[in-house]
Amino acid sequence: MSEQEKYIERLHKAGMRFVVVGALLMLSVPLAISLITGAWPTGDLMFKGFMSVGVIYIPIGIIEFFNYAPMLGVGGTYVAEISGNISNMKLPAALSAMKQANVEPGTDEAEIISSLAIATSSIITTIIILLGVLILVPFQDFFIEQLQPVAIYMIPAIFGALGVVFISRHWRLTIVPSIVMLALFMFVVKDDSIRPALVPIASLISIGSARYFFKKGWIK
Amino acid sequence: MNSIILYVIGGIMICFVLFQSFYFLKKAYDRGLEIGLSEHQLKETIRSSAFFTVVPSIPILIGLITMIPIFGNVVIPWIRLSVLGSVSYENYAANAIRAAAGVDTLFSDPVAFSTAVWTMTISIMAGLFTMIIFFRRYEKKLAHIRKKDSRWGELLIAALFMGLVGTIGAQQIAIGGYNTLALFISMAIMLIIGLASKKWKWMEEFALPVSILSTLGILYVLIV
Repeated sequence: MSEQEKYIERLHKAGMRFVVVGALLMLSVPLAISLITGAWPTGDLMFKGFMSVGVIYIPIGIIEFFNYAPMLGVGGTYVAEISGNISNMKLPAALSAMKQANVEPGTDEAEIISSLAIATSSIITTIIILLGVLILVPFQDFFIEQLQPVAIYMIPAIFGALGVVFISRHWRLTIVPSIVMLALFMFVVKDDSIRPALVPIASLISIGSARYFFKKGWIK
Repeated sequence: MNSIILYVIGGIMICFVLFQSFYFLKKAYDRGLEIGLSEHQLKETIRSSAFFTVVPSIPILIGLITMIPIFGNVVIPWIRLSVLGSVSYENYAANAIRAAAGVDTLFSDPVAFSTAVWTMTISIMAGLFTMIIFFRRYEKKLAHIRKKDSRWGELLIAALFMGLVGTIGAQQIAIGGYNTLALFISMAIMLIIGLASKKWKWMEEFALPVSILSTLGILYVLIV
């Protein structure tokens, strides 16, 4: 076993413990609410809840894990899966850091850089949210009124800039998934709330076309 | 439902997230030195990631604030968005369950409230359970591909990214209006800074945050 493999193995051991403790802590919140109020979820309402929320988000959670783990690296995945906000924060933070450090995702160096970026991002955002709750909640009306109109454009603002980074690196890889998804969204999938759930399909198309290009020798 | 116990649990969870993050930060830092990355490069990564995080934190804070009226308190949105939550998911989920229960605010009905929190928590944990079951095997498989053909291994991950970038890009264009505008403004600014940073290297680390912030600034002027 190489040194890097030993390092990864140690991360898995520690990471699994963190995940189990984290899962128990998360479940303690609804449990505490039910114990305090004596109000337990009714089967009927729980069913309705799962039909509207679980039915979409359980598959997304599963697929997202498979999609993001290779990009985030082992250490990065453990931190990101516990602390959340992956596609809108942890992933862009990791990408930005890898770009600046000039390392290719998937390498030993990328594992380190990505872990550092995601752990730092997780610490900083936790602190910002905590401070935000303390400082901004009294002024919530002003805050919502002034910032919400533009904050909803954060995702295109992030991905436009990130897109340039990727197109400049591997422009051949961007063609097929972008065109297929654009055609799909323009003519077939009109409901915007389910569009992001199609990332894994785009990834499969993207991997398939990349493999084809690679075999043909169009990309090296 | 502003019970002190929930604040205590919230506090414990925040400490847990911070502890876990510091743990992996330290491990990665030490390992980075071992494989020959410089101390400067590692510190630079931490510094620039901290700086990068500030801007995407704003919508999370706004999402948190908009969830307060639904739950009638700050503690549940705070916990949900600090641990595992994602701002788009939590907002959607809280509203969907509120609508399913047929109430205006979740705190007016304890059963609806507890059902909402149970459903949101269990649904978002799917990724976590998948990770517990499959992560080791999955990671070994990926490592195997990389070993066999390292160039294809790199391209495979780049292609995964393209799936994400392509989907979000296409989504923003399909929505049209300010979404498309935001996408292209951000691309243009990034392109300009990217070209400029070939000459002035120091600009590189500001490229992403500056592109995002100026895009939002331009939209603010246009919209508000």
